[in-house]
Amino acid sequence: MSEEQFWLLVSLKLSGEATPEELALLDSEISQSPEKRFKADLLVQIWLEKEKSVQLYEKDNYNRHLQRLSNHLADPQLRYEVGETGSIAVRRRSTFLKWGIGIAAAVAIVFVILFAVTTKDNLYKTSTSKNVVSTKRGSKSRIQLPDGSIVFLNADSRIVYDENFSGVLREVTLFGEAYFDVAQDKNHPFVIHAGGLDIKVLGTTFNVRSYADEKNTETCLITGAVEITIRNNSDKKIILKPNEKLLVKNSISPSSGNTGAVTYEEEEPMMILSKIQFHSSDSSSVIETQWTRNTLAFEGERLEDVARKIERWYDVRVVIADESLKNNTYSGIFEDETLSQVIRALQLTGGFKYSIDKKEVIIKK
Amino acid sequence: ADMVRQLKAIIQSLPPQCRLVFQLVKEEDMRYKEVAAVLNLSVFTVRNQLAIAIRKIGEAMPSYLLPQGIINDKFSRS
Repeated sequence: MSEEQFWLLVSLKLSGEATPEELALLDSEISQSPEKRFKADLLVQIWLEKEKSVQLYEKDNYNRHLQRLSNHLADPQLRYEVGETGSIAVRRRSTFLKWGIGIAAAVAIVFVILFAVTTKDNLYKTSTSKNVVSTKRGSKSRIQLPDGSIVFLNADSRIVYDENFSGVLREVTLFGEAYFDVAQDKNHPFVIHAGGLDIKVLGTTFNVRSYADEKNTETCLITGAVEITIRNNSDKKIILKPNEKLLVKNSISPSSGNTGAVTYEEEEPMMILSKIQFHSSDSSSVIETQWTRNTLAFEGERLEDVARKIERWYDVRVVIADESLKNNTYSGIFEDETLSQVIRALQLTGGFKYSIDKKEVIIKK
Repeated sequence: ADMVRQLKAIIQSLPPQCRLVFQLVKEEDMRYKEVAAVLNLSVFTVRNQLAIAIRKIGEAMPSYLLPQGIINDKFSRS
């Protein structure tokens, strides 16, 4: 048997996709070779190890205990056991009767505890309190959510979430721009509502940009995968893979009168799926997320859009006095530089004159 | 903890599609068919990508563990 074949069998076993013949073949391999058995053991151990670094529901001991119980219930049916012949069995989605009894017992225990403490407010809050974090222009913020997820909030943005993340879903509403690093929890999908999109997370890091005064809502995926649904067209689902970016037009529907509804316009495409631009082969230099490193960056963007980014970054007002200048495109990366340094740098390439007066920048021919 | 760090490094060094398949199957508990649908690949490709990931991890790890004498513990019989 080749090394390649051996590892294929191991991977099939770990994922639960191995046929009985494949399992038998692997068993005979490892019973003949202690070295192979060791390697297989090791992979099983790695595969079954859960991330202990993320702690869900940090609140009090009671909630943690409850969480542990419910984890046991929801545990994927991966089990590590040693059979008669000494082989290691990794069984998935098994339907053995004793599992059923074990689960029933655990459920019963949970119910008993629930009944015993019905006076606890935490469990029965029907109206859960919401946390709102906002940033002003010129400032950014880093937040940790109740499940350990991290959110970097860019300037002039707001995020709303349940104080406890107590529902089936972990929900967040975003206005503005944020970079998310979502903690793993496959039992509680993480959903972000932003400008008419619902972004369901499949364990990952990504950037969402949804300012009300901009034309589009943009989602950029860095690692993992996300599934995006347009709120009014629930049959339209798009899945983003790493280094893909989705732009959806923002429109305010005249009938509902609130932001977030997306309407179809004849001339321009409603959605564009494209690749994220890199500066080099290093993924940490993605343009769209440079802001999380305190770096102002734009590439081939119209002066009008650049001006808006600058307004939020430095908390100033930028006026482009000459219409014809608005369409010129600029690229730049600025780390730790002042407003006047940035404007001067742009001017060197750009063919305009400018004046800065306290918090107002005027750009003219 | 050190092993975890080493493991994370190996996973990071996997080719993008390979890493993604590995994460979806391991962390999200998805079946090959589901991953294939999500990523628009054939089940065959998913199967092979996972095998590649497991192999890379399997080949990189034991060298780390040897000094700790785990092999000796397990294989005291000759």
